Amino acid sequence: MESEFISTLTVTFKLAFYTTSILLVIGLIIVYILSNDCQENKTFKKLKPLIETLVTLPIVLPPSVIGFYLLIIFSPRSKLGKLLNETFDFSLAFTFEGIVLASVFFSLPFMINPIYNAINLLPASLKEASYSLGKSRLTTFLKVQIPCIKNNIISASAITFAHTIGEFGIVLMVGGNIPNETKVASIAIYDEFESLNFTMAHKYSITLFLLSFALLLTIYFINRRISRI
Amino acid sequence: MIKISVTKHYTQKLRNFILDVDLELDKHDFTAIYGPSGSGKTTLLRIIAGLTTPDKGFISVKGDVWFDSKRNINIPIQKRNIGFVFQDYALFPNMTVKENIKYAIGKNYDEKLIDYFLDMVNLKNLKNSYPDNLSGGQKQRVAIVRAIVRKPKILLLDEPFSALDKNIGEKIQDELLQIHKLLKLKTFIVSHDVRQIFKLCNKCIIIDEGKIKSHGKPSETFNLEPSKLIATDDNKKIFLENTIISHDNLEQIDENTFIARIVIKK
Repeated sequence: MESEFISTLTVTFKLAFYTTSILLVIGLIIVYILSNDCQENKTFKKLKPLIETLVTLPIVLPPSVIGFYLLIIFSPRSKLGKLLNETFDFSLAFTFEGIVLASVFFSLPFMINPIYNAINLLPASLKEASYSLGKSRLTTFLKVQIPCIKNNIISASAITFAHTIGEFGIVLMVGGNIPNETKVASIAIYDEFESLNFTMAHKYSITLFLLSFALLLTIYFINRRISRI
Repeated sequence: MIKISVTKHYTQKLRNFILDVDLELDKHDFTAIYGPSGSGKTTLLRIIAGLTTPDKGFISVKGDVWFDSKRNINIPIQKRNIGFVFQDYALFPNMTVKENIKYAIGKNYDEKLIDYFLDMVNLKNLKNSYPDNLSGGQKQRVAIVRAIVRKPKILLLDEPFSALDKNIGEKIQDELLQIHKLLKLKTFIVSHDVRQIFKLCNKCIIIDEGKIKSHGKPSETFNLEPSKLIATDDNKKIFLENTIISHDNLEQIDENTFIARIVIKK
């Protein structure tokens, strides 16, 4: 029982760590693309609201809708699912990789929106000053814009991490409840509660609560110190 | 020689007009762009910099074509080799004074050159400070040094002294004038301050609703020609003839009004 408790928590935090790390990279790339001035590219200008809507969609959609379509798209019967299965031996349903992918889709807005909003709130003169000094858009993004919003990036990462720890619907739909593979703490709590095993449900709950609290407190504390410097 | 002949449809909150400018300027001029708010001054400056694209026209600097709508040429701001000083200074808050300047120079920076310029504007002791810890005047000095340290072909300043105390503003103007002469720069300054224009500039463009109303020496553009009624003394009207008014005697009342203080010998 004790080993299942530890393995469930390990899967939970591993899922949150992978999701946050992947989203940090993907998020910065998407924000870089979206924050393009796009004065020249009219097609991109028209596509921009569409990309913004797609990124924000997981906030309003029930997790089951995203889970359902992901299972359809990546099913071994679909061309994409078949290709990924044959090439990389990747299967979405009932695997840890599958719940990471689903979680990345579902948590997309929690990482991207705060970073994108923060970039848009920076004075335009900062990037224009960098351009006037001969610096490219990528150099400006990496050396001026990103360091200026580092607090927002830390907060976005913390929220994504915490949100993934608490993720229930999409993980259950895509990953099921396989111990040591896809069983995460939030599902375990529901499982133990349904089995009237309140002691175990409480053990999971309090552990999740304390770890999440300590983690967020540490991140916000670091954030505050950085903003003072 | 700088040639600018551009048009740009200019949209403001309640009105639209077309910025239509045709100019030729000599090298090493210090040119003021003067006019009421919303007249297109900053837009003209941004068009020269490459931050705003004109609808059509032509810009060339010392023989290099920067913009030509007919030939579809639009050199990006990064390749125009300009220095731009923004109204809000636009110093990078994540970098110290020295780092801001190092960023401008690039990899092959010369420590002595940074110190030389910082010394020129009395900021050598603050080179490891972050912009948030500097006063407005100090920030403006850093912004000017950062803009000129790459030895740009053109220096563009967008109302650089508007947020500064008068005395500090005047000190920085002296330093700017010194830098302009030393580096033989071609400088454009957007300014609302007539006194400042007379002090710094040898050319002035007055722009209103996107059109150039007047262009020439400051004394010519501001109609300080002989026989112009500009002062009264003991309720008697005094006409000045062949009078050259120094900038020291000018005082700005508001955006469009300024008075000249004169001494009348009886």
